[in-house]
Amino acid sequence: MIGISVENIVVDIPIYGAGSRSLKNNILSAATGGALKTRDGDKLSIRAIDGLSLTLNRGDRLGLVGHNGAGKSTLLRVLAGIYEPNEGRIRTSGRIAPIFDLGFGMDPYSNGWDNMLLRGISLGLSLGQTREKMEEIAAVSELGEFLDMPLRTYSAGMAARLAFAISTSITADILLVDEALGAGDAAFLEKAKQRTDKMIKDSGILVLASHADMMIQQWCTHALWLEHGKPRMMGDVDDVLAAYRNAVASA
Amino acid sequence: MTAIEHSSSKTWHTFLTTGWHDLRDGARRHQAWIFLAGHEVRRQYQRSILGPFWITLNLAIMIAAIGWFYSEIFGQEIDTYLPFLTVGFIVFGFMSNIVNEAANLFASEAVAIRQSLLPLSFYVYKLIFRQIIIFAHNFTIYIVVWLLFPIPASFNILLAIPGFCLMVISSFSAALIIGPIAARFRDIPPIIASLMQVFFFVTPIFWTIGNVPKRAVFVNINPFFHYLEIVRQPLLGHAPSNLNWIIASVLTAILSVTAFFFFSRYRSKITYWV
Repeated sequence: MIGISVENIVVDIPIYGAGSRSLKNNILSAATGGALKTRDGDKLSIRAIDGLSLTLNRGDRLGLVGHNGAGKSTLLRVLAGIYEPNEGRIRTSGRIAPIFDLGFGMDPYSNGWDNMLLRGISLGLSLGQTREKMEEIAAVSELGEFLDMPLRTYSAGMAARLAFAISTSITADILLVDEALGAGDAAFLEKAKQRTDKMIKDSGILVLASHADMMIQQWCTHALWLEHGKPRMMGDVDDVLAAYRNAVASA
Repeated sequence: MTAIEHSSSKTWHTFLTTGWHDLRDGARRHQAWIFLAGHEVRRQYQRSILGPFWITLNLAIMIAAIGWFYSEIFGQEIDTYLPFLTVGFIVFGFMSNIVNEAANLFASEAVAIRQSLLPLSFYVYKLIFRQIIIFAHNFTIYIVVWLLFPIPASFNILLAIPGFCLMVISSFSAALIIGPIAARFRDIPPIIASLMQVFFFVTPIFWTIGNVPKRAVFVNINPFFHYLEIVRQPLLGHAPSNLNWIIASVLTAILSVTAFFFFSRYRSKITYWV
């Protein structure tokens, strides 16, 4: 049974850059009385998600909308199991694939084939699984003999195509996508769209965070509007997007 | 079907179960970390003519130079001094590289940790295996030295295998403890780097315990000394002392149990710390 169930989760992201991470500051703050003290006494943190509950079942396609910093990416990372929430419960069942940064894991000094393996590993595939998909990825990328060349010799568009072809080759029950699935030049776009459609249709559940209304309208059945980590509105895609746009325009 | 459940109310039972699953899933992905470890070593020497053989050559040059000079400083025969020095450098280097890299491990993998679902132990396995690859490159120097210098041929050499295993288990455990602490407190990496530098000089690598009769006790309370001996003595054709075996075994047991509890307890915090 594929599903996601989230009950009342709270995620606090500690901020260490301000200095509390170093031992010296921990010691000095004791000596100076600690002017920067906040909530937890000596810890500065941001509440990225504040009391969110959510249930998703097979066939659900949820779009996340909201300002930068509203908690969209954090929510995706919680659903992926990367961040464990500070409060509340989360239960997921099904194979999860997080697609956050298309090119992540790739190495400019390796050739296209090795990059398929590198990117495959960071997507959580085994070497064997990636090797089985290599021919297909090569065909989709349309890079031909360039696959034998190091990635740093590729144009930006070619690198994007390879990254796209690899990332969209995975099959998963729960697909978590952050921002656009960019795919290079115009000639490639139609093919990219078909492939993305297929990947999304094959998945049991989709959660997509995006600032592009088009993407949300195209692929999602309903939407969740997040504001300061809190759910502001959830429902039909067009209703939520309309309300969100209104709020943005009047702000 | 994979089911994941996280709840903010946690008991030691849930900590240890998820910790165990992390270590087990990491081990299952051995093909991936073996591939990545090899890839990282090759990448470091990309486009150089000698490639990863530079690892070997760097150490060989240092051993040759120091061996030739220091054998006179310490009044030792080069025939016994150079093999001793070679094994000491290779084995101590393995341990100190792991300790130093463990201190930067999670911070340097921060982007990966926030992106992918790989278990956190995956990065530790990869680190250990990369150092085993480097150790194997350096080991070729030992083979050359073994051919050129009169190291007594003895079955004692086989004792190096259990010795090396204890050293690998301890290094892995140490990395599981150091990694999270260093991710949380960023003063730890430089502290560890300077400690390891001190250990390099107070561990008998280019001098022997016989050179310091009055301070021998400080050698014997140094854990690195015992791990070094259980690998070095066999490779030089001798049997390590019982004390070496006992201390190294007890330390390995303590380290691995501590590491399991520690890693399980703080595993889920690492993503927030990096």
